[in-house]
Amino acid sequence: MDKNRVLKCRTSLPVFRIVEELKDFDPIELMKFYNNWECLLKKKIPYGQFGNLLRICIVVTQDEGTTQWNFFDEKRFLLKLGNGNFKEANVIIVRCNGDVIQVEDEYIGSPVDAADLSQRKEGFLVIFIDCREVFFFVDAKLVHFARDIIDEKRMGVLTEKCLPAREYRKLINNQYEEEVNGQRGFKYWKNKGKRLLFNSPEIMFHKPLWSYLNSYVLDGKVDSEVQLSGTADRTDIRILTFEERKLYIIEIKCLGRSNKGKPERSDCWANQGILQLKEYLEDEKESTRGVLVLYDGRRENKEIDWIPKENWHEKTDENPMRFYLISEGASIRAQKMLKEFKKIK
Amino acid sequence: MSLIDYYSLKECVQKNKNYKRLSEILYVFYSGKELGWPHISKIGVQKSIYLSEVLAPLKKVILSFLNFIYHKRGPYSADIQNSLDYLVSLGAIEVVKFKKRGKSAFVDYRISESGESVVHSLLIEPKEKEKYDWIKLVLRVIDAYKDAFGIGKKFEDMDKIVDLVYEEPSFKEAQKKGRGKFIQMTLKDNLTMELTDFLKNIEETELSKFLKKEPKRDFETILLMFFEHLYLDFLSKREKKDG
Repeated sequence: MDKNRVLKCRTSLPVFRIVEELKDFDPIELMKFYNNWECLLKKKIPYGQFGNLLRICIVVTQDEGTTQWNFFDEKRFLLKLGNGNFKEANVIIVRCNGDVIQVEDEYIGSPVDAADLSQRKEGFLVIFIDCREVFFFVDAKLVHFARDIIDEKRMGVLTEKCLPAREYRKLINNQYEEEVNGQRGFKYWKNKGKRLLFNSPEIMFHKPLWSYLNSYVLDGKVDSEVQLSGTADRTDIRILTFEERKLYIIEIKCLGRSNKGKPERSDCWANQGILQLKEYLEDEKESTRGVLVLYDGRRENKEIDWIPKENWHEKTDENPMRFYLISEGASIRAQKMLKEFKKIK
Repeated sequence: MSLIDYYSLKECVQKNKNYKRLSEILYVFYSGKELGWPHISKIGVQKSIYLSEVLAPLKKVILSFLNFIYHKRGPYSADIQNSLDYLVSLGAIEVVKFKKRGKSAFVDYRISESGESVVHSLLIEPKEKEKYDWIKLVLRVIDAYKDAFGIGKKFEDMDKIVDLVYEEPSFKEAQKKGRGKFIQMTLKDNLTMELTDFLKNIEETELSKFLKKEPKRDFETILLMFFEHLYLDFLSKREKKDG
């Protein structure tokens, strides 16, 4: 019997995370809802046909009400989706058994809107589905995020990608290769040619990394934005291992430009990350290691001019992980390489 | 149903030497109806009672079917089928569908109105109510998992749970011994209890270190964790197979 697997599932499966926050919810009812919901999204939606139309916000309630139709009746749901029924009003109030009580006259277009709705719907579970991307909110707090529901494995299912938390560098690197490099998993360039990132780029990189680590860290609980004891600070990502109780803190920073007119974020921003990490590691006395992850969208791919190491916390990983974000397509890169090659010749 | 019919049916059930077995089967059908299942198949009855039975020590409930053997479609007890046939002959259970495929017979059953009345009268007794509550709780968890992603491709309705029963530790152990061998159900060397004790221990001693709030520590959560364990075993096996 694998203790790590049991603890992983018990602490990280969305149902248990939600029940921890919403004590009034019946865990069996919620599990039924979650299993049906997962099956609907993973198996029954033809994304090629309906993917772009699938932007809905589900509010799960325990309240009674007159049933209109059942959300898990996939034929009916797909028919409504295909007819564009959720183009203007997409807030569906659902009971755990899938009975739809009401479709509210409101349109939720982004996770920010969904978080706001969740704040208004205190004591309910709010799920925002944007094609294959899924956000779970409870009282405006993001409790679970799946970058791609089709790819997401059930918490506790062992795959070759799973690694212990101590191999965090490998895990972060794998996530870069699988999801970040070449915008394979999500988009971050607002304008590739001008190397302009979307606004608040840290948030864009933070959630997918959290989701990835949540799925593939074998032996620990992965939390996002955990408040440090006695302070108002929140760490980006925190991993706490089950057996040895080792604590890893991950801080994410993005370099480059995300707003026209504003200067490029570079060395100073990276060093701010190191100092931020230092504070977190000082506050969190039990921490084992802290690592800075840089997603580098600067024009030039150059090393960071770091502040002297004596200003770093001793538990900070000496080699921050910098990923230079490639904006050119393969053909342009090949042309450039060819030019370089000719120069050398 | 006339009053005389009702009393004779109730007496038939209560005076039967297998009264406890008959009542447990009736509770499965009654709970199934409450959960909105239109019928339960032969396979479904066997699996529901097996899971209720093998997990019963968790709630310290004593049920009466113990002689399950390893069978090609999971755990099987001839006593259940005999009792079920008897209840059909009494009119407490009705046959909804009968289909023969090769040597196997596929039958769907449901509880009759008179069967429901018998259940109502039995539930007045606290011991019976306790048994019924337990069976219903197990069936609710079965209901929560029967439509989980990936399970029961070869089955319909609640029969899909067969895939999870195949992962049940006591059944798996019997599987090693071969078809027709008895499944260990007594407390000694019971692998199911070993797993539930393990889950209970984690819930009671380890979990609070990783949660912000104190966990509930109730039977529902232990049962859910038990089924989740079976489900994860099933998914991991499939993951390995798919490479």
